[in-house]
Amino acid sequence: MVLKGEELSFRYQSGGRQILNHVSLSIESGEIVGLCAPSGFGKTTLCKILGGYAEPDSGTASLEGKSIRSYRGYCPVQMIWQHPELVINPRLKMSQVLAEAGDIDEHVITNLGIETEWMSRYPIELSGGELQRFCIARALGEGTRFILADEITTMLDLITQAQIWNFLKTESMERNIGMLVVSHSGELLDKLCSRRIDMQAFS
Amino acid sequence: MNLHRRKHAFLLLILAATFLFLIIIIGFLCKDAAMETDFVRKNQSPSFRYPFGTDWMGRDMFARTAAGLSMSIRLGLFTATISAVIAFMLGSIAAVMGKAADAFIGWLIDLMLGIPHILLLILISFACGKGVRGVVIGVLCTHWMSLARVIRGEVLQLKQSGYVQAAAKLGTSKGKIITIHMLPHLIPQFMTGLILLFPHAILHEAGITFLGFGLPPEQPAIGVILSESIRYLLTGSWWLAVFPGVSLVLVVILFDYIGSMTRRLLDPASVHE
Amino acid sequence: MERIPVLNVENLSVSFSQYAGVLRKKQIEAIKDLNVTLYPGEIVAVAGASGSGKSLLAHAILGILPYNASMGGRISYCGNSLTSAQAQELRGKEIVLVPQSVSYLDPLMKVGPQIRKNAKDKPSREKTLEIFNRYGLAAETENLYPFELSGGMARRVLISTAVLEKPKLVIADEPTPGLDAAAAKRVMEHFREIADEGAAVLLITHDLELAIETADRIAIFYAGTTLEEVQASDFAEGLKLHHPYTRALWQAMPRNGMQVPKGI
Repeated sequence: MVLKGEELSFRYQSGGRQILNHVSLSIESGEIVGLCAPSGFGKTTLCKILGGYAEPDSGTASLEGKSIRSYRGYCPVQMIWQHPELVINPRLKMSQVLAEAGDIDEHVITNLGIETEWMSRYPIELSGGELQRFCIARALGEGTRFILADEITTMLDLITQAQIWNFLKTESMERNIGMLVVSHSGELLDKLCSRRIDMQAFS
Repeated sequence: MNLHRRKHAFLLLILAATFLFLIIIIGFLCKDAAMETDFVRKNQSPSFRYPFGTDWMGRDMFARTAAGLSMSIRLGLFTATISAVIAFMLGSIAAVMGKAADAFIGWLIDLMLGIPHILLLILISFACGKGVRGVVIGVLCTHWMSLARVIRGEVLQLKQSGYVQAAAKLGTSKGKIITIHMLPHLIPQFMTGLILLFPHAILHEAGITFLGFGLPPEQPAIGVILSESIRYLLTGSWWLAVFPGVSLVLVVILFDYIGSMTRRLLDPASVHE
Repeated sequence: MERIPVLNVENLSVSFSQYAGVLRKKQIEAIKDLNVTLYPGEIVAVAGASGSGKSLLAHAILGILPYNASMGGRISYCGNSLTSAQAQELRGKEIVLVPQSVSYLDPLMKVGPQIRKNAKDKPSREKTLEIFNRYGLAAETENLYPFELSGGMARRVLISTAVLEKPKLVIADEPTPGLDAAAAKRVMEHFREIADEGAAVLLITHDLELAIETADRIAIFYAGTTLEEVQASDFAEGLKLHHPYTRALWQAMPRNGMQVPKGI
């Protein structure tokens, strides 16, 4: 499978700053691609378009030739956000949050270090790092083919970061999931990715 | 320190609700007593036998007040509930049915809010032939706007929220998004709005009745009692206005209190208080 | 003469009460025994696993713990014990927070007025621009709303907010995520400057690399307790690390192989 963005352009309102200007990229299944750029270069916007959260002003984002936004039901492209607290309903217990993604394999939960005790808590009673593990688990439902990871470990400590990336790397290899990793840390991208896209090249 | 605050609030809430419920029952039982005239006992000041005194026709003021309050509360419950439902529906429709619906409902809200409340109430009540029907329709038409606005804002915000968008990508159906992610946020807003509508509805019912555009004079209504008692205040019959007036204020305060308590108990930000 | 620490936290504990069911209550302990001392002109980094109560430490010092939290132990500021009333008094003046999340900004207010607390006089405008310049923010940033800022820009705006006053104690709660390496380094240099001017900086972070470069000492926290306090230079070399967790932390750095030992 190939996740493709072709000639993507985006600005927030007409007359606003051009965030993306004819950006093209493609990611193959099982491939881990790094994405780096200084802040303000539209990395999050690019992820949102590739994940079907936003519509580009021009250009197309597609999976297997089919537009991402036309997928109904569980989306095969899942985005994991930088701030987990914004994408979790504060009124749900963590077990309910997880249940929303359908059946999550037990080994995903164990390997992400999610403790049983956390399941009965509410989001405000967990730290950002603990919440992020739930977001990652939730994004790894059966139907997932691609993961868009938008600076998902910037808020976390090194051990958690290492734990999460080691797990995601093995998991993506085993399940042939393609991954786009956005990070500021060159060292991290060197360690994880087979190739790297520098968004400064597009402007 | 605040270990018992929630329990405390919960208990007071039940007490207040029971008290209001009791008034309804007592009012019901006093219905006949409220109409009974006996000129032997007219113009008596408060005593053990007649705690709120009697009026110039010898009617027991306690019975009249209870019957009037009961009437007010029942009317208030009915109109506030329907108003809140109208608000909920119009608010949601404005938020989800697209720009045209939003613009129309927004215009309607502005229009209704633009006309002075009491004036509109009087007009509608008068046009509908006064009486219970007039009051009910009047209050229904004039009390839904601010809650509708709140609901519209909430739904719009929920639609944009990260977790609703993420839920859609996780394949959660529209119906489930509404029941899991939207209603739990909206229901507390709705409940609080509903309960806080009661005091408004009751006061406005009493208000237009007092002015003579509401319930008919033969009804034992607080508005009627108060407007009649004005004539006798100068002759020293203070109890005719004071007790019914204070009871009305008390009922309104109780409803207001129940409203804020409900909000505190249901609000996620203070759910562990 | 013995120096008086700006901040001294002893045996701090923070716990939350939570309702299980409608009326039953239970306690959750987030911080058990936390100790840290800061002297003027010093940067102390607090590093540790997420959920070790790093952010709660900041909130406890500032007196802004959530309503269902209760706190034990002692926090003293400049030699006197710090009550929450005092903390409130000093907050934003002598003690400032550089918050972790962009949601601390008012979404309905333009950035410029927000930073100078709505002051309209010329000196404070110029001061804002000067500080923006220091952090590599364009002057036009003033007229943007928070939602128009990218993650990195928002962070730099938050830092600008804090240094506008002349604080004695700066608490930086994860100040660098979202910044590119060059900008993060620059921000750290500014914390160094603030410290060199005599303030104490409490740096709450998981980014050990930056902490090593800037901080004087690093306190390692795990599961709500202080495991050990090491000189930054020792940590860089991986020397004199006594606790297994501290060693694991060192190994988990991408440059040291990103290994996660079993049992952590």
